[in-house]
Amino acid sequence: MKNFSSKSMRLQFLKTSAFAFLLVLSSLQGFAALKIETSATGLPVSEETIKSGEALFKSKCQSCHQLNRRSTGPALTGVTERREMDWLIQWIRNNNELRQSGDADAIAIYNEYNGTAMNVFADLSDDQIKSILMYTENGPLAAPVVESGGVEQKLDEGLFNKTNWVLFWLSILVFVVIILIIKTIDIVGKLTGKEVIPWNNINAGLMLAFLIVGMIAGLYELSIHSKYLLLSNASSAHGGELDRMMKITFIITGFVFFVTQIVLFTFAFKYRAKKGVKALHYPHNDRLEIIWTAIPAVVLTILVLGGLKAWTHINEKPAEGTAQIEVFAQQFAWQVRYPGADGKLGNSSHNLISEKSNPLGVAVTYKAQEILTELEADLKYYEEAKAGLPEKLGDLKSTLGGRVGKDLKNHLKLIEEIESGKEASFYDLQLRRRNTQIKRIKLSLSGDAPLYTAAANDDIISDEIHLVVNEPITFKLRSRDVIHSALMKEFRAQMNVVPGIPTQFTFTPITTTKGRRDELKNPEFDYHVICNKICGNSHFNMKIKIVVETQAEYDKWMADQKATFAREEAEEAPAEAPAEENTTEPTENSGEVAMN
Amino acid sequence: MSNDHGHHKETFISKYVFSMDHKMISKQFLITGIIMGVMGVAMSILFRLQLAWPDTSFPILNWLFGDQWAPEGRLDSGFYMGLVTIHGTIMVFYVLTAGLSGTFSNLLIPLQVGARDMASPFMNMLSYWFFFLSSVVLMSSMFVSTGPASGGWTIYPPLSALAKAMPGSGLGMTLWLIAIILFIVSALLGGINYITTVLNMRTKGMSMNRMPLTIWAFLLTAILGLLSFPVLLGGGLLLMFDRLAGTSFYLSDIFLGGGIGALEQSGGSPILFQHLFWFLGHPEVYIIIMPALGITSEVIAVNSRKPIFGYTAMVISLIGIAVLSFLVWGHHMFITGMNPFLGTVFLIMTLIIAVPSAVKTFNYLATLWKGSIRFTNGMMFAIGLVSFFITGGLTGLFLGNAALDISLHDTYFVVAHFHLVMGSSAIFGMMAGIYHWFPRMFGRTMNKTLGYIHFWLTFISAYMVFFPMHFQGLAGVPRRYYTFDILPEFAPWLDVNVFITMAAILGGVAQIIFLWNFFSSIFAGEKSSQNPWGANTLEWTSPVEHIHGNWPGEIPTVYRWPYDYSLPDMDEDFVPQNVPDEGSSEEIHVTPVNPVSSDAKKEPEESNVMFFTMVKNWFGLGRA
Repeated sequence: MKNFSSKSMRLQFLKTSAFAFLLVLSSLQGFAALKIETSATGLPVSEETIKSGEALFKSKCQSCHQLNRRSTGPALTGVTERREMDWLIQWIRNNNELRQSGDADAIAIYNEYNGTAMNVFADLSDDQIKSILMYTENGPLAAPVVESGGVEQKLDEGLFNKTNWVLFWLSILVFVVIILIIKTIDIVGKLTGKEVIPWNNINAGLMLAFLIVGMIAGLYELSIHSKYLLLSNASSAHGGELDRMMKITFIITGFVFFVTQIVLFTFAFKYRAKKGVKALHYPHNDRLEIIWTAIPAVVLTILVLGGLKAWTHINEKPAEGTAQIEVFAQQFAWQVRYPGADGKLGNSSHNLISEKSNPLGVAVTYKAQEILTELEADLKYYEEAKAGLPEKLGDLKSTLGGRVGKDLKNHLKLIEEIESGKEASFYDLQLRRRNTQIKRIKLSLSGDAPLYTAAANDDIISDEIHLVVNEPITFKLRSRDVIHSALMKEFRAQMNVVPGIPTQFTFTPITTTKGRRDELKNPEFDYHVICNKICGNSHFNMKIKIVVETQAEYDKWMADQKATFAREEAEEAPAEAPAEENTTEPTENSGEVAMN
Repeated sequence: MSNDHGHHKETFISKYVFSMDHKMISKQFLITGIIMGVMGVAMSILFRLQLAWPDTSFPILNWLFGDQWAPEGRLDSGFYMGLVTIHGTIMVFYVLTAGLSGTFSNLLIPLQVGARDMASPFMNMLSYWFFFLSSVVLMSSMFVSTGPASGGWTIYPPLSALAKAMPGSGLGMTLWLIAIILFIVSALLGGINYITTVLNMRTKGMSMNRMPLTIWAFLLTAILGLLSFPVLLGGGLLLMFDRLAGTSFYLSDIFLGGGIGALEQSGGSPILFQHLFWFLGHPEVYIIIMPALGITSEVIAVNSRKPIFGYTAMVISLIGIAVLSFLVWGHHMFITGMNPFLGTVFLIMTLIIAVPSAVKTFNYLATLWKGSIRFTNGMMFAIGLVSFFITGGLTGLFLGNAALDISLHDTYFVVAHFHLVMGSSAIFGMMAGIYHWFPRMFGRTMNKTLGYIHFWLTFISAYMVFFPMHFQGLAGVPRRYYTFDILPEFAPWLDVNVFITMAAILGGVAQIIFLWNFFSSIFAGEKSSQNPWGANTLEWTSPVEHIHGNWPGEIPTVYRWPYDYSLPDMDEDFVPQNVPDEGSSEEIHVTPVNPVSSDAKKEPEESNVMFFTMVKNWFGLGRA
């Protein structure tokens, strides 16, 4: 089953045997939920493990990886056969470190994917990584009924595509034939000296035909697609107003569209050149022109006023005490930070971000100390790496022999990068960056250190946004790297997430996830934030789930969350000891959240 | 060749390569534009394949782009973005700015105002060669190891500023910036020339209010370009500094993954770039559409055999559009985090700009009314333009409304909107111009039957491609997505994508008909008569055989406006501008004539020719 989708893909091109084969395949799926008996991970194969692996895969990996096809990163089916388990775990947890350590495979992958670095998942435990890997071995564990339905659908699609292609080539053939016929008639016309085809009348007629067919086609499309359009049943309080305005604009523009297009093509038809009919010399009519300047002006004023009202309303400053959450964007994932019991979000700084221990860069003093230690280690690493360059170059050169093809090319590239001084200057740059960062963190820690407040201590970081229905909420948006955009289409909400410039959007969700599922009669539906500003190669797969629920459900969920930066031991414990624990402890929560 | 400036022998190089003749330069612009257009359209079909059949392997892609960019016969996601970016760049700048305005401003300004050449033929030549160089640099970015620029044609930093943010932000992005800087130089050199020529070199009697609407459109386009392109140049240079010199104009508070870590840059604003970009970017839309509207005005009037309706209103609306186009750039940025109050200002300005656009449309319709329409190829494309301009223009009322833009921003609704209102419209304007002035360019006419087939296929397929996108956008489908696996709600649109891609392929096939027609007609088309469409403007009085200086003897004097079609008491249904009105010649001269254009023009004319010869000799081009 793990190869199912690629199989069905190929099936589109098979002919008669396809249907029978698919039936057999679909009946097989009914029985086998577990595809594998043993796992290269060494863990016993169980549905739970695979399920939790699937959940993790969906929240952490799916933005760049698919099972059966290459996406931004490689296809993951069979990855456990291609690589050693230890290597995989190291790679998944922190591929940067692996690359920095000079691992040839790691560097080769980086180069193969055009220098796109994989994200760091320092918070994943060994078992979590193994569960993901087991999922890649087994493939999805979906209910068999749904699967066989999927098969028929796939088959239909295949047939549909095939018919389309036949139609497509047929129509091209027809066009070619038409061209040839027309050409022949043209030549006949030229020989006889008379115009055989009355082109002017034909084109005039075609103009009218285009108008009629085009209008019908447009209306037909509206009739089949209107159910998907987001023009009613907005799930937010302000959405109703926008939907109404959208409809009014739709009606006005639709009316103008029909009238002007009808006038255009009818005129084109009606006033085609006729023998003996001279055009009317009619250069201007001031009154008419004033009228059709004034009418659009009035209509537009109405639209402007409506737009202004809605726009200012949506952008009103949120009332004092409106709940706030921080939505944090990075290439290619979202995370959310809740203020915790005190209702206040702690401060943050990009200087305090550590992929290992503080992915959101929240200003907590002990984290800052930890990061300083990490940075010192980095400095040491880069200094050593720089000093070791001549030696590395020697090694590379001595292992040059016997390499061929891609391997040789990569190897030569590594040598070239050292010889040209590129690698050394990269280390210099990194050293300068780390030094600046250390300086800035130390500065922020000195004196009163207003950056570090107690508000941060109970903040909760999660991979899923939970909102209370009918309660206004302010999304504080922050980006780590490039511009992203948080699009929440059901809430008619969107705001760009800009590095260095805090943005926000306040709205009130009025329909719970359950309620929306009922409305749509789709039990699978979920609200999401998706990224809507191109942010890199995996832009098209960057999302986070939003759950809108009642206060009681929300409270229950919140009770299960642990404050990310809470320390189990005494407040002022020695710096090293808790640091060790805290790197894995708190962030495991976020992994669990995704699994729930 | 009867050529009164032919005191030097022309070599192949001086005639066809480093030519300073505006007619040859216009052909160079046109053909380069067409070649770039072919690439742009081909790219769009490639990425449409990905959108329609994301799971299907196309071995031809692998054959074309190799394992790096199309492994397993499917486009790499980064390369997909690269194709989208370069498609946008090519179509906006290289085809619809240089290819359209460069071609027709060059061809028509001297011919229609009655000048022997551009004010500075040498600058004109430079303008083309900068454009050519820029095209080469842009296309070369397709061949670098990290791929072409792929952050979208709007190249927003920080994505475009950080080489490690995506592969396409590496060398490909630097080349993109160099290409655009060269392009801007070309646009400025051209623009200065167009403005100077129109203002100073009009023939006797050609007062501003007797200029054809094409010239008005080219003049205002050139002014827009001259005022807005330098801003992008500045913005681009600052971006270059951020990329190469470690400055922080657009960068602040950034932590980059992949082992890079926190960057030093602080205090910059990514939004600043957007302001600079759209300060060009929005006028750019009008730089693209205004020449097309000018061409359409001329073509519709000629082929309806009627004066253009409301000449003054047309000029005023062009001026209105030109002025307002500088005040609306913020409507691209409603939800970027710009102060919402600014949003209200831009909302108002944006909807105001719809008024002159509406006036233009109504005037086109009124021109058709009671006309005697001849469906020449050019006329059909002009009618197509009006149709697209209406359809695409109306959706602007949604996007210009800040509140509605919240849900529509960066969805397929936007794609549908601008592809209709400036993409298809301007392409159709360009096509109308090509079919209409082909006889003037090459002395032959294009095959009209093929032209009809080209028109209908293109017109129908363009609507089939872009109309369904409105629905996608209203359903919240984002643009610039490689696949739509992200949400199950997007699944129903796969069928629509298949439909659109097939229509796009059909449209692409139709362009092959055009290419065949265009290039074969250059050599084998039917010989054209002096004035094949019965038009009034001056270009049809110059000989079919191209000569330096455009007219063998005196430059014709202008006695009337260019739209004297179907005058009630005349047998002929047109009266060219250079025909004196015998009955009331006194009255005509009452119209104030721009003194610069009449008397003082002799002198720049002479020095102009001298300069022309001098520079040619300087380059050694004129010597045998």
